Amino acid sequence: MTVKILVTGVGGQGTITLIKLLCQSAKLEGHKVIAREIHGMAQRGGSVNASVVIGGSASAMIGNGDADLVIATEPLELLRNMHLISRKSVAVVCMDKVIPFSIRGNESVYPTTDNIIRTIVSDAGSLFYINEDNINSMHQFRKSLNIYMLGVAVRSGAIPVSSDSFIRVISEYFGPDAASINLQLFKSGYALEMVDVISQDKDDSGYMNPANYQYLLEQEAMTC
Amino acid sequence: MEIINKKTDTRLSELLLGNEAIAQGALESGIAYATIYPGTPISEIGTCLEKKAAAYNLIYEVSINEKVALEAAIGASLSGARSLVAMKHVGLNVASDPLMTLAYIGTEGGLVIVSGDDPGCYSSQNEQDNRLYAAFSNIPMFEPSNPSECHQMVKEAFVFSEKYKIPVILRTTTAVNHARGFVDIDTSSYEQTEKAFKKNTSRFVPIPFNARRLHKNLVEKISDLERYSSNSPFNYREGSGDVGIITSGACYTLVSDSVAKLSLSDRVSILKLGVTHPLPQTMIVDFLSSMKQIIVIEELKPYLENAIRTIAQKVNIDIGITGKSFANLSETGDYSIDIVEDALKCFFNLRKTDRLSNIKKFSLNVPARHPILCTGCPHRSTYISIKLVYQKNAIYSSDIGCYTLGVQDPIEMTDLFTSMGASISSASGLSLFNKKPVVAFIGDSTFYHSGITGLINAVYNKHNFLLVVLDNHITAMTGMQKNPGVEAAGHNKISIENIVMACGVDWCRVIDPNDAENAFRVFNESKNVTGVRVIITRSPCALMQSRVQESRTVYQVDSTQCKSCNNCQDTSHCSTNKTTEYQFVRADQLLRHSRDTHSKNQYLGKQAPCVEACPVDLCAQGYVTELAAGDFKGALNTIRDQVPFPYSLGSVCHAPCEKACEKANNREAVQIRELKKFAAQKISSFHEDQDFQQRLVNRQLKNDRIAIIGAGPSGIACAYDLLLKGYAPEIYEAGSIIGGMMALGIPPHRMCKETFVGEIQFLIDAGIRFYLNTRIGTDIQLDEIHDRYDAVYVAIGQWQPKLPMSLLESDRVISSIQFFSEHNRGHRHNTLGRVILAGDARALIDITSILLRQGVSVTIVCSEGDAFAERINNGIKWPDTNRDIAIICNSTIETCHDTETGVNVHIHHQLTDVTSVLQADYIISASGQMPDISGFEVLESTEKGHLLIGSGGATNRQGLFAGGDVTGLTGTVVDAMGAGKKAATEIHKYLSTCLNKKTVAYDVGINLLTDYRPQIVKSEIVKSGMDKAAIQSIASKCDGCSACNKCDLCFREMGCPAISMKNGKAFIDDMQCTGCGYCAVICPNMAIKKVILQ
Repeated sequence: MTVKILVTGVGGQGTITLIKLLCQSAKLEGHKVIAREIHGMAQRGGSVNASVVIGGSASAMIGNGDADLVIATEPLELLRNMHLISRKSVAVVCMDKVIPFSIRGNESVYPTTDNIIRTIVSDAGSLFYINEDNINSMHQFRKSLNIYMLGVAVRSGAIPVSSDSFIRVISEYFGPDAASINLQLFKSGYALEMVDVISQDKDDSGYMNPANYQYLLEQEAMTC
Repeated sequence: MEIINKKTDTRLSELLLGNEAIAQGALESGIAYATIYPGTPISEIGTCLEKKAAAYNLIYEVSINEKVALEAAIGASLSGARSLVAMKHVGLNVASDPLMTLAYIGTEGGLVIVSGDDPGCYSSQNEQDNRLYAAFSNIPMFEPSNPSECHQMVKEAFVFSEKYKIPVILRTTTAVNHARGFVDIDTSSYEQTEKAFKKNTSRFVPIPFNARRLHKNLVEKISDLERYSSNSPFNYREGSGDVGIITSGACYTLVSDSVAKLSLSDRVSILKLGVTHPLPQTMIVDFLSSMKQIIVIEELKPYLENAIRTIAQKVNIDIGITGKSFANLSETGDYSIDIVEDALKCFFNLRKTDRLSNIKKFSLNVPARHPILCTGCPHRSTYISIKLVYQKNAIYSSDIGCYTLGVQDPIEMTDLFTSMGASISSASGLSLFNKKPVVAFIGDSTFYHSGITGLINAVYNKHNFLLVVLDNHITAMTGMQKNPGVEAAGHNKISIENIVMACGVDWCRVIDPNDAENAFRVFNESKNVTGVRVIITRSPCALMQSRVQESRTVYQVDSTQCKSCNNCQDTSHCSTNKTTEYQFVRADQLLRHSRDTHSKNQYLGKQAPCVEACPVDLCAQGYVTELAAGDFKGALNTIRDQVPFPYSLGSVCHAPCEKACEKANNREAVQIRELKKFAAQKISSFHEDQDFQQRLVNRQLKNDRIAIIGAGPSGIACAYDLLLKGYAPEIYEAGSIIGGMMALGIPPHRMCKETFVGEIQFLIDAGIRFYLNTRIGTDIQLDEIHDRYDAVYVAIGQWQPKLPMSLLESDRVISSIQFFSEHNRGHRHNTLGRVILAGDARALIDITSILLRQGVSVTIVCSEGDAFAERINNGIKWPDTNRDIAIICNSTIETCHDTETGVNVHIHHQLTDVTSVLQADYIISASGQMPDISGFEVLESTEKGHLLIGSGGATNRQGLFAGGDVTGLTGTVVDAMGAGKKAATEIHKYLSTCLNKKTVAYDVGINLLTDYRPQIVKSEIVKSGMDKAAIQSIASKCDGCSACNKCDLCFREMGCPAISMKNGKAFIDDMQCTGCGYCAVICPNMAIKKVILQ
């Protein structure tokens, strides 16, 4: 049984770091693992697409509808990869919107948070997202939101690796100072009272009310 | 040959990229020499080797180009050193010259050539299939499919190369180079042994005699190596089904996963090939024999497929072989797992799911995220400076590097690029066959790579172009590799300018691209030089600069100056969207002068002097700049913002703007009036003018009814402004001709009457309603009008001739207004006989000019001095007739008496105090006019008979306004228009607060004009003889003194990621700004200021 994980975002959001942490943690628990990184010109504003497959696959390429987990550090990049998502997919999205240069001066083209959520829930199986308020409240840790998201992703149960293994890998991966902050972020992401947007909100008819999507991830007080 | 001594032995499993695994395998093989030219997808091989070079006693070099790298490695290998050369696929084209012969010569120390192919062009200009190079050169090829294989194959390749004395091509694709996986590595380190070259002329010197033998040897060797290939563990079979899939490299991983997913493992067998030249023929024959059908799955060329078809045909195996063009297996792009999966589904007749619609749904809506030049990138500054100088006129030949991103919006300065160094050589060819200037761009690294030969060729053959070397001290695109232009320990720095000069270039300049003023000057200078010119723009890559500093310089926008306009009272007037060229012309206006002495300093926050002087607030700066930018329609639209009859005003305006311009800039004024006339000369009808129609559509319509009395310039200007504000003004005119003094007072040789009629028709079509032959007090009473309309503007002008006392006794006096009026209606005055003219000098000249044309002899009596006489006699180009003019200066008419045949005029000479008598048939008096306010008696008037108005034109009756000549406060067309426009503003203000509005719709109807065909003289004026280029050059003299609220230069034209728009103003993000300062220097509004952040 393989677990296919897509990590997507833009340059500087730590997508490649997540790939390395996922690989190391899976390896620690004896899983076979292979990854793939497409980071053409990420430093110059391009997208970053990377994937990990845990559990014995020859390629880390994910087929249409085949992603088990998507961690998107930028929502537009998730929308760009919606074809990889199906009802079996868990999506963890950070609403840290980075306006692409192509729509500058016409920013309204960027989908609203509501529309992003609506689009994801129409295809995905579960959705956990970090909204703008959460992001703002974690302003000083903005560069480490990826680790926080990893905590959320691990908590979602979509990764067949225990949080302890991640904790061990994170403490080894970062230098002593950075490790403690990142560990706290991981733990705080992992400890969230999480509500799956999709299963919570589906009424009998399967209709989802976007008005209820706000503030589903209640941010616990950060003490670090 | 034992060349390595193992020092330690430590094995562990490490998470590596394919590239890192290649580097690690090479290190474990004890390589002594590695030389690479960086490029996606192999760049990380170099990064990784560089890091470990010292620890492994390895000589690591970033080479100058791939050919040089391979040739150096040949020397190293033949000296016994294990050598690795790495390059991207297109690099092998550069290295293909030595490659072909290298196969003949072979190797001593193992030599591995890594060729990173890029199917899908993730970061390349093509997706060539370098497997063909292996077959072409007859060099053995290994193809790994994952990091672990990368590691193993490199190690085997070195052993193989040394054993068989032949190099190996390790062919990867992006998917393999950028795959990450755990690799069992051996971290042992080695000590290198002594190396030495042993001469072997018959092998190493392929003169024809040797080459023929060596080629034969090579073919035999490859034939022998087939056995190696068939026995290699890198070529193996999987599965037990009877459908055979033959594949290699990254495609194998996709096949393997698809087979597992589709549960086909018992139906297929996979032949996975790792050694793909020479192909394992025996193994393939065995495989084909045991299968019922074959599918070949490979990206790009049908390399395997064609070889396998050949083998099958040779050994006579009759088997179906499926490959390219089956399902979505094409020769282009990289394969996704879905392509492979769908092909297998198709092949096995499994249901094909329809996921494509899903892809479509999203890919259509998600905004693209293209890579762009970084914030603070010096290339951006270079590009913008060149655009400022060369604009769209040049052909831009570009090259490969970060600066290729200059192809994108908004820079768009790449017209051609093919391969490394080609910018220069192709510029040569372009310059031979194009009149436009040619500009070539090349980066520092690319210049060293293969720009120099092209430069020598261009100088030698006397080509003509500008070469810009963008020197950012680094090979940035591929990950910050050093190049010969960078000072570094263990290297000699090589100066680009010295190379350029040594190539024979006479004109070479080095500039800092962020110093926009100097860059502008130097690029302008380059325009006036022919031959090969070189400008080196030198500034370090923005990515190399640390962004986290305690205090740093950033730039911020002063929002009071950004997108501000002091020219219009009401910026909503400014209707035209400005073109890119407009924005650049504005920067050009700024950069042409030294910043300190620029008139902009003086006029920031104020109106431009030309606009300040204009009674109708016409943005001369705006339309002149638009003309300089070649936007002729835009210029006309800007004029139409304020002026209802642009061409006619351009003909008669006394141009106070030009006087102000001259004074402000202390030099010859821009010929603003001439420019306006040119912009307006191509009169289109209202129905053709889409822009104007759109302007009317965009209005917010108002129901208030406004009457204007008098269809002169003041009344029409008032009506026009009200029309643009959304009202439907109605104009009552006593006469049958529209235009007042413009139509009847101004002689036709000053203003083309036909064009004026056209401009009036435009206004009628646009919705201004005219009632002609409707005199107040006679046809309709003022009170009646006042009752029916919410507001009334009285602009009846002054039409009553003012005759001096001295002329009152004569019946043979014609007033100038009567004369002009008759003349404009087409009446000829050739029967007048002898005429004496007296009065205002300017009118005298006009009348004389008309009379001379009609053969009337003229005597001018005036109080002007001899200078005027001189002007009349010699200074004026009179119509080409037998002219008969006499002039009596310093004189006035004392009195006159009619006789039976004419009139006796007593003329008093002021200087001599002598009175003489002159006989004439008629006297024409040009002593001005006064208003006839009969019908308007309810309005307060002055002693002189002018209507009395307060500020904004209000009269003593509420809702009734007056302006123009009837108030005695204006004297020229443009002043009268100004009064009308002011009244329009007041009326608008009045109506928005007025509570007592008329609700009953009222239509006079009877005299409403639709088709205007007045009885008026035909035109005499020829249109401007200037062409667009001449006009642009005149307009280019404008300094653009004041700010413009339509400025968009930094945001729209620079494409700097740090600049965005916030609340309608440009905004620079502190966190992103690198402090390059380029935007501040070119900001035409001078709104960007330096700030030190603590």
